[in-house]
Amino acid sequence: MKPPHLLLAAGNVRRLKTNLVNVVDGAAIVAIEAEICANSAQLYILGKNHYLFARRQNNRDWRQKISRLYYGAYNVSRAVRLCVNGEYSTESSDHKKLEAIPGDFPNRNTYSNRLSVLREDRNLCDYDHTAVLGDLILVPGDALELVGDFLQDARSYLQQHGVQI
Amino acid sequence: MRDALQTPDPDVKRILGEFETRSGLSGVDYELKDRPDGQALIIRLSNPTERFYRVLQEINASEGAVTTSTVQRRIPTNRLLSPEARYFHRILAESLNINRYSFKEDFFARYTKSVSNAEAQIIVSANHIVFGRRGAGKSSLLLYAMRLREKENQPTVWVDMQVYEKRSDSRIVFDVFSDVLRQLQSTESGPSDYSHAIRLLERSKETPEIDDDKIRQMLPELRQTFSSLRERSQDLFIFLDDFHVVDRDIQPKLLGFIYSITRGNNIFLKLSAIESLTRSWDATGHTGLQVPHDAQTIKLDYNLTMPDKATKHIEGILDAHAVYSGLPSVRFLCTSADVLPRLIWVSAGVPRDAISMFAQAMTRGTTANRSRVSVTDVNLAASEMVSQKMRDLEIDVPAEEDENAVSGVLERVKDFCIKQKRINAFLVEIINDSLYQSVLKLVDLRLIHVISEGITVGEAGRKYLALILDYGFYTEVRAAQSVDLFNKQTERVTYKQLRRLPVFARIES
Repeated sequence: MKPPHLLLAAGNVRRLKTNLVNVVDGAAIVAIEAEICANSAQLYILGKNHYLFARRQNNRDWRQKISRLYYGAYNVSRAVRLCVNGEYSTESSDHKKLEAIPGDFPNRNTYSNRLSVLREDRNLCDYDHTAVLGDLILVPGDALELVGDFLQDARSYLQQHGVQI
Repeated sequence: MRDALQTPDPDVKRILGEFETRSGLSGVDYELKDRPDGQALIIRLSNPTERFYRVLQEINASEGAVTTSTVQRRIPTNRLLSPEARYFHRILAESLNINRYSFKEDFFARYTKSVSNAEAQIIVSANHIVFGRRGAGKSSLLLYAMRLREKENQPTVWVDMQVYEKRSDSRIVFDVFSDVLRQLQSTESGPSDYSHAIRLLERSKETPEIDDDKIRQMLPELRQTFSSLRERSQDLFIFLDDFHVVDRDIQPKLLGFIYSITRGNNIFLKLSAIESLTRSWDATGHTGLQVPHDAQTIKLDYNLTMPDKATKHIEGILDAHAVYSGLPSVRFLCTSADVLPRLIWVSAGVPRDAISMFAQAMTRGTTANRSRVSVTDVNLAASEMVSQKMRDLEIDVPAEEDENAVSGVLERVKDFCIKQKRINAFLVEIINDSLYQSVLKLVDLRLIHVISEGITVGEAGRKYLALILDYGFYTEVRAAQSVDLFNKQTERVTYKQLRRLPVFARIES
């Protein structure tokens, strides 16, 4: 990401917006909000592209399939977190926030638990040369269904929060 | 790297134990997956819903579990013996008797709204009498309103009228007022305005002779006590559950005294009662709650006159409990699509009877080593239930010597259907006499069931009620094997079919 960019302007763009309310005019606040929503939408599309790519893969390529599905879910979770909390990070520690689903997200605990499992499966797929297909908790078919459902719920959720997808 | 572990470590055991305690399931199926990155616990359920994931997430958050744990779907080999079905069986039994403490935490997850949207009416600030047969869901509807008000921190009082069963003395007025005031006092954090009134009532109860004048003298002070609520701009709902158990003669008087306190004081009465056993208004004494001027009625019966609505409602209730237990639906436990229609038919559309019979049928199925409930199990459960209904008859209806007394009429109906006409359905002419009143009481007691509320057979102007005798009376009777079962698929029946039914004749005087 090259400057100038809103997401580089502060650690938390929602906080930035709140603190600028009395500093800049209303039009500027509206522009910041529009930029937050536009970036959320782009993150969502990035996640969806990972998902669509994963969907085309054969289950024999389970390592790649799980890995791409994970990135699909991860980027969509980033879209949700950016929209709701203003959080955006490119640090590796951000992956641990995959399961930090907002309280009002539908079936929040289900997604939180199962996406956490997907992250652990993805770590096996990407980094453990001794892992076999039988080690996965979520088989590729289940993972595909989980991420597909998550994308669908996230899309409705983001739209309710003003993100145009 | 892989590190073979064969037995659950303490962390896994703790998660499993906590999961069982918090979910209510016991002996859950699980798999321990030995992975290169450690052990993973996979709990297997028929329908892992958000409730179970929430339980697991709470355990992981509170105890800092290090083991990966999740819930996954599986189909158990024996459905009736699965932990989910055993829990379902337990909560069905728990739901048979609703009181103010029922389903405190998860009430709304387990409550099924009525088909007629009675919920929208009961929460309104107005006096209501909820009528329905035993087990129709009257108390559940009151509890719905109470739980909703609790969520909004609105004051409520719940009086279980069973405590005052068969009471006919005037002292009952003081007892009910004391009950209400004590409950209000217990919700007050600081010094309450109610202590004085409670002391006054206690003193008055010790008076040997309590007449209506004595009660009337106390009303202004009691009214003043309750008006403190109005001053706080809060309305109060007083729930009087199973009001019909109080002696019929004192019912209007008791309601009249209560209403004289609550009227215009932002206090609203919500009664549940069996209609034929209730007398809310005394026209001679001009006292009580007059419908519709002082109170509105909500009728909860989805009987066999509306089999589609009854089916939808009962299946909804059973499904809500099934999903809460970790099952996909109640049909998951049935051998065929015929089981639920049979259940609705033998329960005559009464929710509590259907719940009770399904629980009984599950026990029958388990005993017979079946993995699912069959139509036979439901039939047998229906025959067991009739003895419970006969006990209700003894409790609810005082013995009378008239030949049209309730139990006498029941015996005649049984004889008429099983021995004389050999059909379980019949007609009774709608004439407001003692026989017709007894028939209505038998309907309320679920010993006979209405299938049509008014048809004309021959002569214009003469209307008939179409009824069926409860299935439990003839399912195990050898002589009744030749009894023709009317509309056992619980479908809508035509007038032509109804007009062919035999007429149950009155005894000539």
